[in-house]
Amino acid sequence: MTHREAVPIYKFWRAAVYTLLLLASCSKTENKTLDSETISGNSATTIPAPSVRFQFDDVSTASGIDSSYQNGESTNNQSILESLGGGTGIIDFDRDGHLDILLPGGGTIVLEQPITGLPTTLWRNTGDWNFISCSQQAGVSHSDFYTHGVVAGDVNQDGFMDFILTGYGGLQLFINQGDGTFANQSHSSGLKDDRWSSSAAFADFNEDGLLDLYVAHYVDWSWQNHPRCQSSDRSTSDVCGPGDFAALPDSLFIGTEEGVFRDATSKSGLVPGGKGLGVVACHLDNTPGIDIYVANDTTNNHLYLNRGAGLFQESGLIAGVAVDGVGTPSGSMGLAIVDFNQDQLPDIWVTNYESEPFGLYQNIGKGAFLFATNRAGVNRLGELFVGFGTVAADLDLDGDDDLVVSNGHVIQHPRKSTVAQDPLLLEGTSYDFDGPANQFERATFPLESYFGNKHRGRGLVTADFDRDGDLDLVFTHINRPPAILCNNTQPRGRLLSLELIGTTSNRDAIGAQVTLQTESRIASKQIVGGGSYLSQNPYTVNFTVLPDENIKSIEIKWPSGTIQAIGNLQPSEDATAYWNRLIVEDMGDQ
Amino acid sequence: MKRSKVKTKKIATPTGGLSPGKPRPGTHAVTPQEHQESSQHLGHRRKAIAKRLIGAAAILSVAMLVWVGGPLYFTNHFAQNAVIQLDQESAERWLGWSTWMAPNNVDTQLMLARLARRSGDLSAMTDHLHIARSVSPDDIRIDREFALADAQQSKLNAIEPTLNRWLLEQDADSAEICDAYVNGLVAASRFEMAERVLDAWQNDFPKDPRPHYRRARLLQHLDRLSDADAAYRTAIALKPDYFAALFSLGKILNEQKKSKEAFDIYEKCTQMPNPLAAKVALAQSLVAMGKTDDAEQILRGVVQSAPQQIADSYRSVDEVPELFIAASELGNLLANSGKFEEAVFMLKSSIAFNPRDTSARYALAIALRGLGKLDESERELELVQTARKELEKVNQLRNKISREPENSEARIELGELLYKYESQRNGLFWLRSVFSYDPDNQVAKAKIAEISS
Repeated sequence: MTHREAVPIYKFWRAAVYTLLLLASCSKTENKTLDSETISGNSATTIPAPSVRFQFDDVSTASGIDSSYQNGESTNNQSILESLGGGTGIIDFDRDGHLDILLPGGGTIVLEQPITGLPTTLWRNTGDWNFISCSQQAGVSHSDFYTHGVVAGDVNQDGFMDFILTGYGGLQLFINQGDGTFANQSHSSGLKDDRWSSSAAFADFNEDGLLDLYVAHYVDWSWQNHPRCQSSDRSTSDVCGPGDFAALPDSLFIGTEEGVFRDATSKSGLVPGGKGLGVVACHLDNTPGIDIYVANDTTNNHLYLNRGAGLFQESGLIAGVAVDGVGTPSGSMGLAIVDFNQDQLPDIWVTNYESEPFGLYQNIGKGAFLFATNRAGVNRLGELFVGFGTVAADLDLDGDDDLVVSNGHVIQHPRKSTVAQDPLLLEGTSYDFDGPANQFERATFPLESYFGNKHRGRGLVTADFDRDGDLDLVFTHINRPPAILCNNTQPRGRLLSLELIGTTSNRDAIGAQVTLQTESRIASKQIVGGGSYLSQNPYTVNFTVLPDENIKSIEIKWPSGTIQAIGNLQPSEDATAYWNRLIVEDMGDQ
Repeated sequence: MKRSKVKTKKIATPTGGLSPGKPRPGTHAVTPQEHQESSQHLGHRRKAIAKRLIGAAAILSVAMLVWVGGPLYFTNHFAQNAVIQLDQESAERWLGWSTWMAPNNVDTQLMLARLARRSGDLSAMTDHLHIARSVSPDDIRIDREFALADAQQSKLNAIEPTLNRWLLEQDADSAEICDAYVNGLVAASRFEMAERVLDAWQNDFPKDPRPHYRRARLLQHLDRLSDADAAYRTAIALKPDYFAALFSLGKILNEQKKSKEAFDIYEKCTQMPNPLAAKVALAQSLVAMGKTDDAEQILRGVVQSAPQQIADSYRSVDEVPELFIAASELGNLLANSGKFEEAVFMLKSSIAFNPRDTSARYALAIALRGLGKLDESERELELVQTARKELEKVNQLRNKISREPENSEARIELGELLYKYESQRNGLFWLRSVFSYDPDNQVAKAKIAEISS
């Protein structure tokens, strides 16, 4: 017999209530369980496998270059002067076909004492990655001031490269005597400028065939204006930022005769308020005349559009290049010109401070730009950087330019990142890359390589030092010798390197526009004045010729306005490059 | 293989109640089968009556239970648990039932007030507390909730001793008190004290994710991003669906340019009950990853939602939605990809939502320039420049206040600047902060009155 037990009444009503409540909760459908494992783990970014695409071998020790830029921080005065560092200049001062390296020495900073300079060093390239110091013999070792940067140009048009040192206290002009020595002609050159200068750029702004000079100035620091500042968490003292100082106005010097300049600042249309650190001079709109773009620290960047006869109109804001994509000024330092989307219009690349995105401004013509940083993928760097020197160059010779950035902090106790930082190589993705075109992808490197380590980077240049048909790199550092990196990347195409010699134009052909046309594409580049940060690249135009390409034409638009065409250029017999340093002379108006 | 079911048919009996046995004299002789049927019939009738009785009793019990507030007890109990577990959605659902059953229940109103306070909706909090007060004027929990709101807003002068006393008493609300107290201390830049309260809170409630979350917010405020990152992860390990912590962690990762990691976190956040804020953040990560087309698509979906729904989503992750971020971000993307006309429409709606949105205004200028409207573009750029120039003073004023906390003039100037050019909320905060040191400051009172009017 089956027997059904009586259900206690309390159980009954409890069941009823729970039924009621369950009905009430039945709208809760989704299961919100999340996988905590993936989040609560270590926050360190997974390090992707090192790229095998790029190979740079550090030949610094073998090169013999052992001089270091000294910023004077050892006396622990925490002056903002220490934060800028020094750059480098690449010049073939003896015209032996090998590129030599010039390194400003910096200086010493003793509280309440005059700021003094340390010797500049000049390293002669004897081939096979050997450099020998010839600073004393060349007469460049004495620095009148605390130095930062180098800007080079053949100011007296004698075929030998001269240079200027920038820094705290004045400009120093060294004229190449053509016999392996330089003469310091600062006092007779008309370059009277005792303000704190950083980067500078040569170009023929008034189109008279002579080089003119734009000098960026930083801020009004002095011992009389030396506040004590604290680290961001206020736990200790630290170097002050640019916000604690007033901006110094930049200068424009017009070349009046060979090697002599006059200060034309007041009549050139320059505007005050910029804390200048980087400058580049090239054609940026579709009107004649070389324009100027200035990277300012925490203030609007300036775009000076050339309106002729050495007159400029500052148009940064309306052009869309003064601030970042949300209208905020960045702490801008380094500059490069790159055509990232292959439309033959020069785009502007700007390295910035820490949390700010690096700026990539896409030229859409008529002096207008769009903020393309996000679209080009250059915001996905994985960590924070304080970017300084930068170059745009096709380092793997695959047809598009890559970007390299030298990084390092300016303060002693950063909270968000480190004092020493990884350098960056951002590979252009337009050719020979799986993924979206017109972007940049950060390349990864083995830990033992230069790129796999942190440095207090500042200056950066690229040049073919060993004449093997690819572009090598030199990084400068704070209180350390520079890094000389030999490019041993397996190339896809071949380098076509042009060196232009102006006759009716300025001899360095700064401002020349060169267009390469192959059966499949057109590429356009310029010889730019200035660029990078406190550094001077060689005045060459570098193209890549891909394996299946034939050059249809090369067209050169010289600064004088004359157009010269080179047709049917066949490869050189030198197997290392399509043409390594092909010298083209301005044929004038013939 | 299915088993065949054997169906049994109940047989109805004409009589009932007697047990089978010999037939009585004078009666019709009953066969054993008839007797059995009769007995069964009687048994069924009894059971039916018993069932009816039990049913009636059950209905009566439920009615009594409802009458004495039984279900309300349970819904409030579940809501309380959800409030403790930081499960706002469940808490609101249970409290919805509670309110349906008893609109003016004090416990229900107190919990609703707490939820409103947590999400920063102090006006709703006040309404709930007033309802509670109308029912139970002397309930000290109402005063406590008001005090916690003051603490949260950094109005600590009068209530700090009370807060410390409550913490010493260690009642059920200790964690809630710590939460509000820490909020207030951080807002008053009393970071060391905030850390001490956090330490105590963490020790007393080792399984509570909130002290870790609050600590992370503090560390983030102090730019100690890697420490903040670790604290957020601890909070999330204790409560994997702690969306506010996940959302904040994503922000830190984006700030550190770890956009892929941020993207993964925000993807988890899209499981939030109202994921609009997460979707906007997800789109921002995609922008940083260079996937602007994907970001555009997500943002186009978000801007279709009601503004209130978007705002609620931000509040649920402790963010104050002062800007129409989705429209601003989408407008910026459109402007910088050459879709100027659409960008202008989107950016104007963002600026209409909040005229202080300088990033939208800058993108609008770029879009107007693209359409050839140079005069309009320059006017917008001028407004952006003015705002930026004025906001350059913010850091100097903050440094000044840090050196001289009692400098009311600097606080007022900072408050006015922020109110005018950046954030209504932050502006008011700094204006009100004057009263921490100078409760009768007439200038601050006049400025606040002017703003309020």
